Amino acid sequence: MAADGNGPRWLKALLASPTTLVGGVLLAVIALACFLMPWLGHMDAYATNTSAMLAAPGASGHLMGTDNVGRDLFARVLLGGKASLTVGFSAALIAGIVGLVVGLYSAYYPRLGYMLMRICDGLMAFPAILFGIVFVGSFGQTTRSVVLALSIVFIPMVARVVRSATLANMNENYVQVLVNLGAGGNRILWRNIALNVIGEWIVEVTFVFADAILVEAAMSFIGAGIPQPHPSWGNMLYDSRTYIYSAWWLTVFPGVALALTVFVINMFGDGLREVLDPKKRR
Amino acid sequence: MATQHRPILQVNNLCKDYVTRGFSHNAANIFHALKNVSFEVDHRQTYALVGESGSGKSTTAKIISALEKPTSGTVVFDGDNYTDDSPRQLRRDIRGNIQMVFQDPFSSLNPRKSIAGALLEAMEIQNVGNTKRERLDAAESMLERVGLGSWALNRYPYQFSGGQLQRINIARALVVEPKLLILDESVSALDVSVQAQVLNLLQDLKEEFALSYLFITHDLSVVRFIADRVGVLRKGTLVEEGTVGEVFANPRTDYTRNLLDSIPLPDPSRHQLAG
Amino acid sequence: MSQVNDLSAPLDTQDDTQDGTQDAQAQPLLSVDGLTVSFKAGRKDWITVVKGIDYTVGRGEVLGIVGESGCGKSVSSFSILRLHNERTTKYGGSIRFAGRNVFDMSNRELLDLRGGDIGFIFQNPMSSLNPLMTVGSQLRETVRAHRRGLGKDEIEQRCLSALRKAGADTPEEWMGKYPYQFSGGQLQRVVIGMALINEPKLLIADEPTTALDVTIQMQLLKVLRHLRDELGMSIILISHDMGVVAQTCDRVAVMYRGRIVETASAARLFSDPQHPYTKALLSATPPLDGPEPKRLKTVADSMAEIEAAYREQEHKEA
Repeated sequence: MAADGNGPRWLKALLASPTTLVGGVLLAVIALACFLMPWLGHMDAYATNTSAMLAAPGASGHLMGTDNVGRDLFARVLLGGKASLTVGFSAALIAGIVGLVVGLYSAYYPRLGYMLMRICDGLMAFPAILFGIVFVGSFGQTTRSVVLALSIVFIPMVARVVRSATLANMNENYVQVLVNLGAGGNRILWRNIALNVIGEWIVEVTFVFADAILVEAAMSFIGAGIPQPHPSWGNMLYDSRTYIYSAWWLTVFPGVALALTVFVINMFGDGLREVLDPKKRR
Repeated sequence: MATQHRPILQVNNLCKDYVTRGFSHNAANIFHALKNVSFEVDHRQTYALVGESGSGKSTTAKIISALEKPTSGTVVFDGDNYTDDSPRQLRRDIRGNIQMVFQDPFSSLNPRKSIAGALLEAMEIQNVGNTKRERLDAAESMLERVGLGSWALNRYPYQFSGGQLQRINIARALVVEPKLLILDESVSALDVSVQAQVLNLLQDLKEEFALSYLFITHDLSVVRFIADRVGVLRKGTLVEEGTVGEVFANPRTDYTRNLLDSIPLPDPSRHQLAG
Repeated sequence: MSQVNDLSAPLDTQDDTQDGTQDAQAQPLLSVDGLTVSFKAGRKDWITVVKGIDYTVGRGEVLGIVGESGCGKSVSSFSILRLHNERTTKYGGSIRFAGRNVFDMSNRELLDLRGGDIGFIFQNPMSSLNPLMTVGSQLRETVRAHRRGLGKDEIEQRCLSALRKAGADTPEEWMGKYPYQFSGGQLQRVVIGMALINEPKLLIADEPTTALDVTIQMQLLKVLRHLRDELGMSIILISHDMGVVAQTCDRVAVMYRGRIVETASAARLFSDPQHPYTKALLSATPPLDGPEPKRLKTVADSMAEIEAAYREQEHKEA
């Protein structure tokens, strides 16, 4: 009762939810490791060393061993993580923002919404990977086009969630009160309804983040993702196929890193869903 | 001040049809929610519109507050027919003058907005007050007027009880200085004791701000206390109209009589259930 | 299970549940003694919502429990069937139905009690029915759950007669319909029929008419009254409406902040209320006849008196 404002309350709720907390902390640890460690430790992920090819983990200062041309696997996993996280996060952010706009407006203006939703249906009819391959194929294999392809693929998902949350909010009397006061569409959408759908939006964006990382890995695996020689978990897994019987570490470390990251993000998202659930707050 | 004989609100031959369409032509289904409803609300009067569920009373409220358009008929505010006004005209001439308080006090407020935020927003939209300071002062004094205080300003809706929230909703409606307040079942969801407080408050505010009320309810016992005139709606038709004294003492239709007789009285010796 | 029972109370004797001060019958069907209900609010916090209430319901008696939202009237009635989540609820005191303490019953026995000897009617009829099943199949299901080995015709007869008792005009037709095909008043009759189907001894009705129009409300109150008059059923009617209680009940208990502040026969309570809260509730309802008041007296007006009386009672019970 005494808590004024919103800050302390959501923080309290966050602390009361172990899922969110553990997920969030682990995600932060992974991100920090991927972004800071190669930089702080002066790690080189590209230097080849023919004298230490396919070295086993632990040997000669290589924590995770080396690959077929003697590059340090630990550095490559971290750098690959940096690429995956960057691509996933950018795609989630772009898809999130565009999806929020599309979702809000398509709920508020039924005719526009009908059209936008049919476009979304069309987009969703393509498998995400297929769309990604075609897109990268036609616009060139760069990190930017991978991000763009993934963003487009995930816009409908975010838009749908935002739209249904907005529609539910529009049945609340406070929207009628605003119309009755003479408020315009933008004020109702952005200064009122948006505040109430933002929770569901954040949760959905988190899931898109995890999904985008997976799809990016799949695209890289078939060679339509992050261009070589830049490491990404997907193309590292692709490279490891040849040595799967002789050098297990080439498969296991990027694979575990990928699975762990996706798991942690999903965990974080699931926790947020509970923390941000407005029904629990009343 | 407008001339006294001109009513503040005229509702003329209001009809509203809802059409549900299917694929085939035959599937079109017309539901007549309102059939030729006419009545007038005088300055500083309380007009009660009574009816059971499905009688069309909420549809009437929505048309008067310009949230919906009638199929035919007109609504006139203080001599100004606003039935076919554009959103811009409505905002300029009508919205600020006709305010509405809904039944559910909780869903009428944005759960993520502080009370100050809600009241200031109302004033911003209607261009009441020049500076934020001025608006804040107005919000504060209105909250005090409805029995709360400045302590309420920075709180959020979930921190209040239903009765307090309904006071806040009334305050928000009144900060834009309307002339007509539509109360759509506004006290129906409240406990008896809280309901009595809000009814008393409404009586006081009416005097103080020279308001007219359109009081929409299913509860006839409240009508007798608060209203001057009463209209009885049944399945979209206004079956009876008159002063509260007339209608309660001598209802002209069996329907109204039945409605009146169906209110359980807190007096066991009346034996209303017998027979 | 975390109920706190009064273990010192003898379980076998029915006679000592007699309450000489009440004008109920010699052997009450239901007697509630010192019932407390607490809900878990935090790791170690418990909020006591019902703070020690006593009442009895005689055979063929209609008891009204009135009070405003949050006073504990619904919570206490849900406790009769132990409908609260057992993990987050702590009960105290005892509830004896036909001589047996509800808090000593096994889950099996409780299931038999619910919808068997005790019928329950909720406020919102739509939420107590499955929208995807016909009324008939839901009624038959309820019969089968409690009476195994009944023939098809017998089940059908039971359903039809229960609906008829609940005031259905064409029960045969109703059996084949889905909930959405009924009006609110009809649905509440269906729910009453469902509660009646196993010929309960006690019917608990929690605000059964609050969501309905007044004319429909009157019809349903007549149905409840009829059940008492013709079948000798005992009824607990929970309501916030003094009028509803006055017209339907024999005896009325007024609840305020978790306690029963006054119990009296309906005739006494409405002609000569004793507790300041009862008086305040009665004067807060706008009168339908007699002189029209300029202002309504509210509960807040007599808050000091009410609180004083409440504290005095609290002190006495402690």
